[in-house]
Amino acid sequence: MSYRVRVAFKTAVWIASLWPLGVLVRGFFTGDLGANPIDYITRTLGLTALVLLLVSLGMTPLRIIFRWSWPIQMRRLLGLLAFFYVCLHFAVWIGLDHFFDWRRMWEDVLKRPFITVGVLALLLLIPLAVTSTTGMIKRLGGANWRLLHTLAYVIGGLGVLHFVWLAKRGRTTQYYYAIALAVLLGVRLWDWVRKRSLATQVKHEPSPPVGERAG
Amino acid sequence: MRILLTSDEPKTTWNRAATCEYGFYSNVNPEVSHPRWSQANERRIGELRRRETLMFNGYGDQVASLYTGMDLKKFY
Repeated sequence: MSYRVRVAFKTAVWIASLWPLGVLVRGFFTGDLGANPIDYITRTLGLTALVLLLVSLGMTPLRIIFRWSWPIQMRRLLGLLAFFYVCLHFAVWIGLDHFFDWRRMWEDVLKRPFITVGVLALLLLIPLAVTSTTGMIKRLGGANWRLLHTLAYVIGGLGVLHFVWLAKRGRTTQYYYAIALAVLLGVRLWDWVRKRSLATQVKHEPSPPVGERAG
Repeated sequence: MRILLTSDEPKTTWNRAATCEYGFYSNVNPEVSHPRWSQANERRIGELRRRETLMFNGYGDQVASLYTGMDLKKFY
């Protein structure tokens, strides 16, 4: 992919992913955030974070299915933008929703499973964000880095679980996110199984056919 | 519009939607958590800070006597 195309792609990612934040900022000044603004802000930030997380997890499946190389170059940017939204989501929960009432928040973390998994997802994202630079990839070595970054699958699962567990009964949106994650991880599993069976085929090729050996 | 008197406790909408989460009375009891989240505090519309949720929505003096002798953890 040429430099210009890559810049165009990345610019599009920046604009699209900062759009929801822009809408919130605009809504704040026009007083257009609904009857319960803090709840609305928290939900919008959380949902955007989850969408970005799933989109970043969707880059490898795009490569597997269409054999494109550009999606992988978007992965880090998407992951970091997801982390940015997770941090904002968390900051609003601490600063606006609970007004730094640490005792109550800690109780919630321990007692409410949906908050426990949410905080866990945030904590697991930190090492991934820290090791996202090219220098860190080199320092860790490719294999270690890849192993560490499989945590992204766990984080995706925790994020979806957070959404499913907090949703009020009768809502169904959260299940579409669960299905999306299952598909994205399923494509990887399918690719892994396919590659493994290809590898075993190659390994067995040099051995003589069964008929000859029997004779 | 009609009034129907039943010998058994009727089903309510929220109770039907999630029996394990909402009972017949559906009173928000600050001392008893909803199975998945706390009900101890709330943010009133138009206010920034949370405040402690009052028993019986603050109408305790008027309605608490209706619930005397009931275990509100069991009948929620």
